[in-house]
Amino acid sequence: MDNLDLRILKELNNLKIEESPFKSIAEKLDLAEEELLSRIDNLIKEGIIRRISISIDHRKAGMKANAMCICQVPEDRVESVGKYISSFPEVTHCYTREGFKYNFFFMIHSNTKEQYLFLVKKISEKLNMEIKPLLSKKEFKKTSFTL
Amino acid sequence: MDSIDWNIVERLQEGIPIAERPFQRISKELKIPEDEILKRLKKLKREGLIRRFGAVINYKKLGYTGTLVATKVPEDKIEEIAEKINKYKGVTHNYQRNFEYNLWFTLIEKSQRDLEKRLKQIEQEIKPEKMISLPVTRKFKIGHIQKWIT
Repeated sequence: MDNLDLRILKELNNLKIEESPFKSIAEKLDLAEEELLSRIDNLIKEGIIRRISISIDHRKAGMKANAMCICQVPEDRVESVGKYISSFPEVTHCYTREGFKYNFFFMIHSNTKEQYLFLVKKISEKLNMEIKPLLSKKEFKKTSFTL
Repeated sequence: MDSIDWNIVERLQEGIPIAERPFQRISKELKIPEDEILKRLKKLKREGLIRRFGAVINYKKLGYTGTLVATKVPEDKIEEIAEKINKYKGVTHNYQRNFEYNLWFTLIEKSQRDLEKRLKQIEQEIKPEKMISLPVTRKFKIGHIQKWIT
């Protein structure tokens, strides 16, 4: 990754919604559009860019219930529990973390509290494990990582 | 957002093709005219439903490191403390939650050393009753939010 790639990454923080969003950036950086596209492809291949996409404000979209679920999963069950919980499309993130007695974290976004509680109960019963859903009471900040 | 908006939004959250006319390709996939897609997206952006259109960067590949921080702070001071935390550029998410640890935020910095310095700095500024850093050990899924299905 060189200086030009860094400048490209900065410009890619905020794209315009238009027919040719990459053309505008190529012009700004004084590059041929083809070269810009090729560099972006490369950055994706290297894994530096995951994708170019939109992020929605899920609260505005009606998904006001956001629960971070935590549980204690014994080490020998982590793999199977992780796979099972990740299989639900309503679960957006699923990680193990260290530093706390609860080592397993996953996120559910739903419209109502009842919806995620129903899913949590289902998972909890299937796995025979206690799951604590920590509902978000207030969102103070939500931004993407940008350079 | 109607169901056509959701169709478009869900497709776009997966990522656009890196091409001269990315929305033209998506238009063929979704069987929705390109100008309609653009019109709807612009409207959603104006209304604030779309927060951002840009590159999702894997900060770890750039050498950055991050963690989730759980803090316990007095409920009556939570707003002013949250504002202090928000000022830090490395803080991307910040939420109040109903638990003993009631204020949770994510922090991303250029190195492990910078991260530890920043954690000390934040701790000294907000003086929480409790504060723990919970870095990820294993990732099973990093996804995006979809319309509730069941």
